[in-house]
Amino acid sequence: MNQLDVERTLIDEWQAFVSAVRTDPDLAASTAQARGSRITRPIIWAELEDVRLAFAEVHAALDDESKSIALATTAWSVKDVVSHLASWATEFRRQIETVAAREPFDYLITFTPKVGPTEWNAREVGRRRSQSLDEAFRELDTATARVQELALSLPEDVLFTAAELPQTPDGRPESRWRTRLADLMLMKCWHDRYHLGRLRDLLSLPE
Amino acid sequence: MTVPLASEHPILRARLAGEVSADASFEQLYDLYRRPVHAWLSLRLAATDADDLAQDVWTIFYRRWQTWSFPAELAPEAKPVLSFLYRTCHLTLAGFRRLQERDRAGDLEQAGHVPAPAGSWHRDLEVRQCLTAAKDACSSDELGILIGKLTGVSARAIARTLGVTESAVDHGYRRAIAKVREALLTPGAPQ
Repeated sequence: MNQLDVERTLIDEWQAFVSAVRTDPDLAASTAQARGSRITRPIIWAELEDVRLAFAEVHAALDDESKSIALATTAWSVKDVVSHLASWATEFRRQIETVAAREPFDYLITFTPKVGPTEWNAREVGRRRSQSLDEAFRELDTATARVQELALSLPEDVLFTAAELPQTPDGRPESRWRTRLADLMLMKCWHDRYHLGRLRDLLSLPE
Repeated sequence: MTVPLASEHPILRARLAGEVSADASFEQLYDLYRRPVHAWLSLRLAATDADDLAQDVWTIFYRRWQTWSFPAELAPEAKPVLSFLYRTCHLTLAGFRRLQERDRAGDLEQAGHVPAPAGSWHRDLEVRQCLTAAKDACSSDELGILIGKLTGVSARAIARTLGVTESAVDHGYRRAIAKVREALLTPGAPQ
């Protein structure tokens, strides 16, 4: 049996294997009906890993300093956006660890609807101005990896029960967000991807 | 050399043109790819685990499909959904294995085989000679490359998923074929 014979046989066997697999014919309908709300630990881990790999690609593409000082938004450079993502990765990690330790939050983040936490964002990006681009990426990756660990290790009742967070739409403590940590982790991925889209466009990276 | 699959392009075009809803097109894509997705997982996992992870993969895809970014032009050979599902299978499997390692480490006294519950959709499938040899002889990445290529996933998509170059994917594919051949010629020999 030469290499070509092996390859042909593998193709035939794989085709037979794929054809013989029994799948749930109703899974698509039930997933759509549930609006994709079924969240498991492997889902969270995979989604976080996906953004980590995407950030590594962006980091590798920023091989020239001129690319990192280019404007990515009307106000922020590429490096500022990375600092913004690093600040939220650290903040998400802190919030998850605080909830897991069953400790209260002693601060609020005013998250104005449709506008966002502009003051908090500006302050945190400003605090990271002296960071290098590599340091910002390192902060982002370290915090995201920690959130991944927590997705696998937190007790079921901590990960999947709604918790009160520091974010508030109107600055009042009684209006604070109540969210499951599992959802917060996926929210982080959504936020990361929102900015990744712009960074990938700027750097002409494929989707 | 790959196993030909029906094209996902008509579904993507219809969705882009607004001729079909996100949910209906999701179901069409599920019908198109449910077997290869399940096969990717079934080759490497116990039946019930493959069922669970297949659900995870389709849940991730469902959520992403709602805001799918359609390129202005779609190259004839492009299979963005198949590539996405391949990558998602790989990442979800990696997450599952991390979870298993944690559970094993923290729960050694309860370790042991858990029988598949009755009513599982998937039963253990017969894996024939060459695929069995591939499972035994290839590394995890080589097996990932092999089944990706056999399903028609592009070398580029496989390379991005595994964090290697496209030439490393081609090399890994050739190495996997060679290992399978060697295993068939000298069964029981160390790889």
